[in-house]
Amino acid sequence: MMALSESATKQLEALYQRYRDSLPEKIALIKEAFDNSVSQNYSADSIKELKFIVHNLAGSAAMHGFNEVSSCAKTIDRHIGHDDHTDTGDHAWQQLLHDQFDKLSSAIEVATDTEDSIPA
Amino acid sequence: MRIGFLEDDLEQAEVMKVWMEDSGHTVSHFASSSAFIKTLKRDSFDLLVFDWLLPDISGIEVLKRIRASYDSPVPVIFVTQQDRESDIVEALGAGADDYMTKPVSRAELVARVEALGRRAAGFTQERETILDFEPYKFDTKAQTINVNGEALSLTQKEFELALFLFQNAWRIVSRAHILETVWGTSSAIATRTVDTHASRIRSKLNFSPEMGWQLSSIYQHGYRLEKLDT
Repeated sequence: MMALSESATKQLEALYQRYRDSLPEKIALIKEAFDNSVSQNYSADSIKELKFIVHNLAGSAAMHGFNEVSSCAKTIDRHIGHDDHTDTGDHAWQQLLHDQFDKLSSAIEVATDTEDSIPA
Repeated sequence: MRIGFLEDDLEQAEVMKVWMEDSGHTVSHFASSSAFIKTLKRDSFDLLVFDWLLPDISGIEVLKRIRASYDSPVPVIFVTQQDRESDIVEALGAGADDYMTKPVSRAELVARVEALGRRAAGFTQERETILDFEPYKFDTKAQTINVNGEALSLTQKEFELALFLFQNAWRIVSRAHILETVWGTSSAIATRTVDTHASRIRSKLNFSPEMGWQLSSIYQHGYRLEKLDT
């Protein structure tokens, strides 16, 4: 495997920095989608929107080296899954979603305060 | 290689694009399936990289449409977070050539893309100097083409274009794709150059029912070389 060129390294450094700076914005977006889902009693549409956001976060965070953020987002993505728990009043499912969301929020806070390096 | 890359998440797409371009590939990125499908009607690629979950049409649906609509064997690799066994089976069953689950590393992505590209280009053929496309025999070392023992007189670009068309037989290849591969550029040379060279090749190789090959010009797209049923 060849090492990255100087130009590619610079591009990736810039992308990493931009991503890191955007993390607080991302948690605000997820919180909005999450609150929206709660207020809509976990309607299918609102959960779908939340899933889409955490799904992308899981992929992009890992690609930028924020593995804990990615792992927490992936847990939510899987929890929402493909099974329809929406509009059912499944309190255990809802509580677990709340817990996972809290973990994700904490992971993002830690990530924005930590000096990480760009993944290879 | 010329890679078509379908990924709606721009933050992921930008990183993967840098990885692939830094390895010497030309990458065209599409954030939506509809934009990609529209482009595919007039352009062509050596390899496609698809995400699965997309806002308009899913990657798996795009793959199914491609396999149903085009008789082209362009290789497709999925790079997705869909990691259930049933997802992988569905994608491979629908015609995907490889499957990676996110997160992916640069080393693995580039290695898999290049391995797939080599397979698609016929790696065993690449190492041989004589390629046989009956009745045409290409000598890639001497850069000559023989037909029934007689050498044809071709310029270097005519030889390279003919070889590219035979290696992509049955596929529609766009003029832009040909320009990038044969001339190594997409802007400095007019697409008319491709048409001129294609015309000369058609004449010099005598593509005809007797020779068993046909080179068709596809309106607003490019060319397709086909072997005729005999």
